[in-house]
Amino acid sequence: MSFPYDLDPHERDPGGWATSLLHNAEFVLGCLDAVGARSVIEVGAFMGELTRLLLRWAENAGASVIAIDTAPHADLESLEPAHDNLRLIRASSHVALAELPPADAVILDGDHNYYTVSEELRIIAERAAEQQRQLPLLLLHDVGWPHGRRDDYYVPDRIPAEHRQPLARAGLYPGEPGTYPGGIPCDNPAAHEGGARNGVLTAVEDFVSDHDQLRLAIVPAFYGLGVVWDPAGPHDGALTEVLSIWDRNPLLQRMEDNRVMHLANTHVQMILAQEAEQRVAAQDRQLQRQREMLERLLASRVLRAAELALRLRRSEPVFSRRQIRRAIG
Amino acid sequence: VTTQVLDSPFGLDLTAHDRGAWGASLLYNAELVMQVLEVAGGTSVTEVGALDGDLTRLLLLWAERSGGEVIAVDPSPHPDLEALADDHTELSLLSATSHAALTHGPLSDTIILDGDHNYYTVSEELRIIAERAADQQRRLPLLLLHDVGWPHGRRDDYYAPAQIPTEQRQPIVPEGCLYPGDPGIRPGALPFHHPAACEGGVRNGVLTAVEDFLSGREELRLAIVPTFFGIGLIWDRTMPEDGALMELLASWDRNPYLERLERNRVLHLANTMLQLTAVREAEHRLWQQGPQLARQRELLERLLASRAFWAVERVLRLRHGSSALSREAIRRVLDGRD
Repeated sequence: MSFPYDLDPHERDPGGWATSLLHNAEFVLGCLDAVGARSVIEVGAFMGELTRLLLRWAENAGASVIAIDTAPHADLESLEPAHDNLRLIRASSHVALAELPPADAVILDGDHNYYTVSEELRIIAERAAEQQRQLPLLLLHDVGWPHGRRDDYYVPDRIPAEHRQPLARAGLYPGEPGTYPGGIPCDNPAAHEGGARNGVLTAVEDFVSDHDQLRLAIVPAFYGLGVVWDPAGPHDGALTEVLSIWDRNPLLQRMEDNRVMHLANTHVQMILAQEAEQRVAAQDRQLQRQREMLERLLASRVLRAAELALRLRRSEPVFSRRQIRRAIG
Repeated sequence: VTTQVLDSPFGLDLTAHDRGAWGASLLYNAELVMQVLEVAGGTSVTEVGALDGDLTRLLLLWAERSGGEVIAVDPSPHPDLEALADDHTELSLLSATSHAALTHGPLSDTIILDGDHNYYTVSEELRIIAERAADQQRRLPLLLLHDVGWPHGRRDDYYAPAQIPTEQRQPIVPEGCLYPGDPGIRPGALPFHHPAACEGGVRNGVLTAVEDFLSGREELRLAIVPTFFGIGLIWDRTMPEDGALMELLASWDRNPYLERLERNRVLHLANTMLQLTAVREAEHRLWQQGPQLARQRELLERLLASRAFWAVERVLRLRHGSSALSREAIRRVLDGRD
């Protein structure tokens, strides 16, 4: 099983959820190469899984990487001292993008909701316009299920209340626009899927429709990768070559639909199994209690005497040691 | 787990015969199968292992577009497939084993092999096809084989083990369950009827049969599309459509991204089954212990209600002051208090 630069995407993913953008490595690197990127901004670098890949790529490509995260994981922080071509910025994406010089490509995989992504896209576009530069190549994770059409918030309070969807209190299941018992847990997902101003893909579509010259390709696997670029730029042909077969490919979409359905089924069944195992444990405990009581009764000399007395009176005893022995099993 | 699948390629139902949505039918690869048939440009297709006619329906759509003919082969066709054959003159149904049908039936331009998924059966199918093509001085038909990926790529499975010569058969674990990455048997994972006890090694699995067939036949190409249990495509490079097939399949052939996606898909499919088995086992245990739990309870309740036990408790209390054998103690046990 080959993987670009020999990174193992399952190293930090024992459940195999494959939530890291690292799983889309071939497309991420394919697009960066197609535009000849020399500078990349990664929003939502978190543990640095994709960052590690970007750094290895950047070494070959002579490029630099800027990783943005409000709360970078220690693993991401440990990458910085060892790599001259990495700059780590501890700030929200909105603050960082407004201040950084524009890059050739921006990877957006931060907070997965309409407001955050829309603002990120607005800031990037405005910065490019100010500097009279073309829009950078944009790569967006999670344009598929579950966040394509449903907001999720790391910290709901950080989103202005009027831009926030009502929140759900249960898990998610593909094809179910509400919630589902035992479904996939997210941070703070919207109570409902779909509708206006909800989800990452909706944010991307609204952005693209406001800038009518832009192209949007969707690779519908591993939660969906959206790619946005200006076809008037010099790299349109190269990007089209990387993406055209896979863009909204129905077979790839079916693979992903099937994958997330079984992923969600596993979770639903796992919760059911945990509940059933708790019931088994409770029943085992009850059997144990009853057995101990019956054994104590069996050992009691007074009870034995009582049984004998009842028999002598020729009345049928309501209990007998034989019955107790049989009940203990 | 029964799951609704809304997606329907070419308007065809994916889950009519696949309630658990395993994606076991070649129909899940509908767009690619259709493209291959169109690029290959033949006028006849034989489908080995037509079973319930899920893919046959797609082949009939191709026949409608191209004016071609379809031969469906299955030793025990499902009534749905029989009904399909009654309704379509362009479909011939051969109720025979693949070896008999391929030996005696017409040799189609394209042959789909999705019958019994084991080394012996597939090797014989390939041998017969190659010999018939040679006899007729024709090129090898375009071959499309299902299940060259996990689990049957490297592990035999047999519908009816008795029909396979003993010396050609792997040791079998009846109703054995398989888990991706585990070369043995994993109880509670994906169930199969007669899987080989071990994955890998010589003369084991569909892909191994394909590779052995290809060795020494330099004129043949093999492409592997690693989606929905894997598709193998074999064709003669001197075919006029060689270039078009290469172009169509280049992006799919052994694509590591697709391999990763399929690997993750079957992992979760198998994990679902493991959890489902855990639920069933727990429920079975609850059910199994039920009568004993009720018998003990009934006896303790009878004791609690009896005058005789009341007397016993009084004697014990007179002797010891307090006692572990009291009606209160029995009540606590019955209420599930420790």
